[in-house]
Amino acid sequence: MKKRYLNIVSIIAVVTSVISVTSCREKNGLAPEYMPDMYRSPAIEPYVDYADYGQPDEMSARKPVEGTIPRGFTPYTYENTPEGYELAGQNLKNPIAYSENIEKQGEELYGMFCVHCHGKDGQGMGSIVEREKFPPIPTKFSPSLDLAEGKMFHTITYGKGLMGSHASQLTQEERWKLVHYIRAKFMGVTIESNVVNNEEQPTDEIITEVSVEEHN
Amino acid sequence: MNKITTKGKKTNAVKLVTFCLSFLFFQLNIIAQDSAAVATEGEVEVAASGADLVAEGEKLFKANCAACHSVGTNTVVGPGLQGINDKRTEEWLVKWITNSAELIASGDADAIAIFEEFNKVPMPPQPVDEKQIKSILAYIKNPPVKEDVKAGAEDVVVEEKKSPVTKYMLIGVVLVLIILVFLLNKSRVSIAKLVATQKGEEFNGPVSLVEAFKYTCRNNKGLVAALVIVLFFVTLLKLMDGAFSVGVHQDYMPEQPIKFSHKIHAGDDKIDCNYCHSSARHSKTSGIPSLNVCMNCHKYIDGSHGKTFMYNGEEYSMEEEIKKVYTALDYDPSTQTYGDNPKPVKWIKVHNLPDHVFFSHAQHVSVGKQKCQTCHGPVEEMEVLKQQESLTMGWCINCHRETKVSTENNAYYDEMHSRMTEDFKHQMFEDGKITVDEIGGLECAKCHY
Repeated sequence: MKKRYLNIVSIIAVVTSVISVTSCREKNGLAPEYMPDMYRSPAIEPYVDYADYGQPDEMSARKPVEGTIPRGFTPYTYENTPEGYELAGQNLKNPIAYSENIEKQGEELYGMFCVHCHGKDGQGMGSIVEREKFPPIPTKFSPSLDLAEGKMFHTITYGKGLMGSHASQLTQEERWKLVHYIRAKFMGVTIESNVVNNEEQPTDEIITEVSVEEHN
Repeated sequence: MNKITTKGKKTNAVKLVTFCLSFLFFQLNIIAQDSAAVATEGEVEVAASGADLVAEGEKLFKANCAACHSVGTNTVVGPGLQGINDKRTEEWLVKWITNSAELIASGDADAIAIFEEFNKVPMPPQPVDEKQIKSILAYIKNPPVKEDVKAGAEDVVVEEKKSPVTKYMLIGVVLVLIILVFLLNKSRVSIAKLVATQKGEEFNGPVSLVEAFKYTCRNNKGLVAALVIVLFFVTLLKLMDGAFSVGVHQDYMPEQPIKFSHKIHAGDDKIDCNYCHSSARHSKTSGIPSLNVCMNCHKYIDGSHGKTFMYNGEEYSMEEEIKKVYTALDYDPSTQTYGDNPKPVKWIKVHNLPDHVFFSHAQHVSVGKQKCQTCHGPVEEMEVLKQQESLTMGWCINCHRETKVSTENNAYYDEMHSRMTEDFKHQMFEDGKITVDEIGGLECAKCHY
């Protein structure tokens, strides 16, 4: 008799413990982890605050050592001043040759990085302007807009007026692709640029401006 | 009779007088109303032309000036324009607005001073004429005060929160039941004893609850067996369930230090995911944006309009939350300068894959052309970001089995595709599509090495 009674008690104990284990979540809403060192490595992973794992002041997102240059990066020498802007407009040329494929890639980038302000048609009425969060963008891309490609690159790099710098989000190559797309689509200009070092031969380049048929 | 007639006469006379008086009043009333009508019409006309001018000015200001100037005193790009009508003459303003460079070149002291003050950043000539400038100036003088509107207040569905009351009620009910069991047992024993003494026997049944429980079990063996079997299987199922949930953080939804709502930014404002998570296209991680990306918009949008928003069922002030960004950057919005004491924002990582699995965002976003929502769910509808999917290996594998590889216009696959079409034609194209597992998406070493 006593044995059976014990059996029943033990079953109840097991059930309650199982229910308590399965229904438990850690205080921050995470599920329980078995052998957490398989999940959380002592080697530093991106975007983890290691203060929670017994390593205080161990921040993974850090600034690179001063003077670090990313691969494939050419330092940009024009200064973030009105003079630098004018100089970039005169001297800086698109190092990427125009092609339809490049324009397509530029279109994709425009949809990611520009469209919510500059709008689908480049007239400065993007989604956040329409919601009256941002004032209408004064620069309206059109064939009559007299804007050198170097100035456009300079503006994406440093920002201008209310527009902030987009250098941390777009690589130099992507910025040039964007310039190609905006010029071809909204300003009706494609530049068959030569792939050359901009620094060496700044002004003597012959630029062939070819206006293309309207892209719709 | 006599009396009555005089009375009647009197009443007639009264009636006549009241009629005359009321007629007079009526006339007077009409005249008064007319003159009043004339007066209000005139006022309305004046007010309308003023309001029209201001409204026109507001439209023009927003289209041409607002990108650099505010109607307050704060600097946006150029100076705030409050009180500009008193500070400068209209003539000067017209010259400046239509061609500031010319005015500076003419040696105007005020023009040169302001040009120097703003680091020689020129104000571009504006495409507005004198009349339009007048209406803009009228608007700057009297900007209409707008009522505060709650952002998205209409489409906020107030979710019912689990109230603690129900929890306490449950505990109360259980307590009452336990007390009831004890009381019933006691009364049962006393009744049984009473019956036994009446019959002249001695009571030898179970007295305590435990004894009663044993007694019942002894007499209902079939029921006990059935219960044990059911409990065994329930336990087994629960154990399996529990084992499967270890390390699976589905529905993990922590509150972030800054109440950033993806619903507002990605959903309502339609900002592309890649704008902020720009490294997803190039890197293993999608990248928590650094605060300079926030400042691309929030340099201008400071929340000073006093609007609020919903986050996790609670209302927050936009201004307070945006201020947290400024504080973290040590940024002073009044002078637009950054201090030298920035502090990192401790965002909480939501989607975390175990360290023993490799996952690259670039591979999935740039090459695989997968939408962010495939793995992260409808982020654009989430106020608080939640881990929508389980992120288990089974979930990965399932997607790799079902997802078709988009080889079109995808240079990454050109070589592979041409080889596959020749060598593995029968194997690959029986179902007419190439899925990820067919190009090695199920190899262990693809993700575990």
